[in-house]
Amino acid sequence: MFGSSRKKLVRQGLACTKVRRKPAHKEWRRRFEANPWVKAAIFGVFVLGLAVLIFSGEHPDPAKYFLIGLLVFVTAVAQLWINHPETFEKNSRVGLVFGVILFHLVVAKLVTVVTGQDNGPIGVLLIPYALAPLVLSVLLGKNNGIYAVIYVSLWSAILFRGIDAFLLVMSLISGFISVFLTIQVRRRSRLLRAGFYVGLATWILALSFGIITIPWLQLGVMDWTLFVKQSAAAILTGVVTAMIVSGALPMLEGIFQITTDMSWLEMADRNHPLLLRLSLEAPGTWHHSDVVADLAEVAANKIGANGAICRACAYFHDIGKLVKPNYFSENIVEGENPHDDLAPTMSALIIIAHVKEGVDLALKYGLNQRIIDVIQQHHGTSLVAYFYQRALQQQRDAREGGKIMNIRAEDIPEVREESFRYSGPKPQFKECGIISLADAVESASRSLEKPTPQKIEQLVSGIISKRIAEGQLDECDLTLQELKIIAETFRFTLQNMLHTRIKYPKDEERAEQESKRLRNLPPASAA
Amino acid sequence: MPSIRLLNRQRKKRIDLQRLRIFTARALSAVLAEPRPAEPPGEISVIFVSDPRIAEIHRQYMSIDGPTDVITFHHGDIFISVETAERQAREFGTSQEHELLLYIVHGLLHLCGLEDASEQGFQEMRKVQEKIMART
Repeated sequence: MFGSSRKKLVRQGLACTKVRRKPAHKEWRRRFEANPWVKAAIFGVFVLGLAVLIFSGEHPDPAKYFLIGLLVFVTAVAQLWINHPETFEKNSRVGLVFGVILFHLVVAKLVTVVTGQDNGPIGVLLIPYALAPLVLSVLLGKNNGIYAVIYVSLWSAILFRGIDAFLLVMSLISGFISVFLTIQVRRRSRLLRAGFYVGLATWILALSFGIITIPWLQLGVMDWTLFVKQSAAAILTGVVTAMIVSGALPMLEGIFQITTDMSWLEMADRNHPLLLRLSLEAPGTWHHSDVVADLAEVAANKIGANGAICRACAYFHDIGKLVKPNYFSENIVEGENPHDDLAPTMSALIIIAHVKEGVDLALKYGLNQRIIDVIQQHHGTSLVAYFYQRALQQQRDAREGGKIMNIRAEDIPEVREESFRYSGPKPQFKECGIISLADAVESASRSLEKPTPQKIEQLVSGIISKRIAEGQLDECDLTLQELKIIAETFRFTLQNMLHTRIKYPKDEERAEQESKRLRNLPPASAA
Repeated sequence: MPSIRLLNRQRKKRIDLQRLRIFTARALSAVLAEPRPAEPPGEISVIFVSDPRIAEIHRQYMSIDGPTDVITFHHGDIFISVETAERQAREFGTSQEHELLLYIVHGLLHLCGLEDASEQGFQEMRKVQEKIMART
């Protein structure tokens, strides 16, 4: 019915066939995350895996050790539920944690089975102690990493003949080192470094436990080959583990919809095709986004929010302006204001549309969901004040004129506030709140005539308190204390950017033609 | 915002004009965000030439022999020698693109009225230049 009438309109040239892209509502995903049966299934699979691992070994009394493993599992679930509710709530996260831990145990078991005990104690050095801790620490944060360290160590200790105290301690220490070294990992190379240190730690521990025998302390023949083999095994295992983890991370990020800091830094790439287009077609907007990124990143790092997210999202927050760049003040060429010929409602419509156009472009280019959220929320439900005031002014003028012309007041159209408001929603997370403030502060700072510290201070605190009063920051978790810190860093960063330079002497006679060589280059290089 | 165009008038060295256009646009918006003593002309041309050509301009308008890296005219023309840029890029361990962009920024700052004849002006200009290069 609706479809056919639309087709008719399109034929008559009155409607457009284009459909605006919308973020897909992944209903099945939401239901999957909350379903208790899925969680039960994950636990079931894990217990089954544990049973297979323990019963397949050379345990003299596997049932006893399986019972121990099962009891440890009960504490693991309880611990996850109490200490890591944000992980426990989502089935995909629970699956990730127990999946990775099970994988770690399987690898450990395989390594010891394959190497056996006959070629010297080398198997215990080939276990990738850092595997699960590294993956979970990088993907879900240090707390989940430490959780992985503890439980992986407990379970691996009972996997092979009895309870292996050496293995428990080695696994614990190597794991803690790997988590400690990846607390805020921003480069992939740091992962390899962590792997190397884990290997080194394993080696030192193995030496002190006497698993690796030092040749010159030995009686009789000095077995250098075994020593070298064992040392290489210990250190290489750490490095290779880190290499495998860094290779598998992008895949895991995709499957579990988690974005690591490393990926955020890669996303904040100024050579992204959209950003290249932005700098050519809307250079003013590019510059604005660039400054907003600076402001937001510094502020976010100060309050302990994620600066990398802020930078990436800030670069893209205004890409919707690519559609009609010349209608936005930062790109308007002096004397050519296209809004002069438009009714205020029309102007507001164009301005407000940049949010939807931005979401559209972001979806087309497959940008991260967080970036799309920031595009959608960075204006909240605020008012396009300039054009609203202009509309009110025009309405007043029309009423005045109407009295003279004898037009009834009802015939003059009412200015409706909602047609001058962004559709929102309000910022939903801290980084978005910070970007929204930085955005407002940057735009306002452009109109500062002579930026003195006092003026900047007034501007920043004025904007923030206005946003609070309007309730735009109600849903983004920023506390008043954090807002105070944000205001302070904004003021500081802006002042550094806008610091007025020494006054220039007014043009003395300048020659018509002149050349300036770059004098910071030594004379030898020029001319 | 003034309009700016990039022209390649040399064939000796290969340059990526499209990338330079993008970065020039970024540089220009960053330059315009800085306070400036004079308004730049409405139309700016950046012209890439060879060493012999820039040496000719150098001699004709400034009576100095030999090629140089960049010559700026106040009516809005910025002449840049790509060969000199490559030489200096090798010397300072930067890239050709970085050098070219640095000359463009330098020219743009001249068009905005910044001068580097005095020691103070020179230091000031260098500071702004670095700031803008970091932004592009």
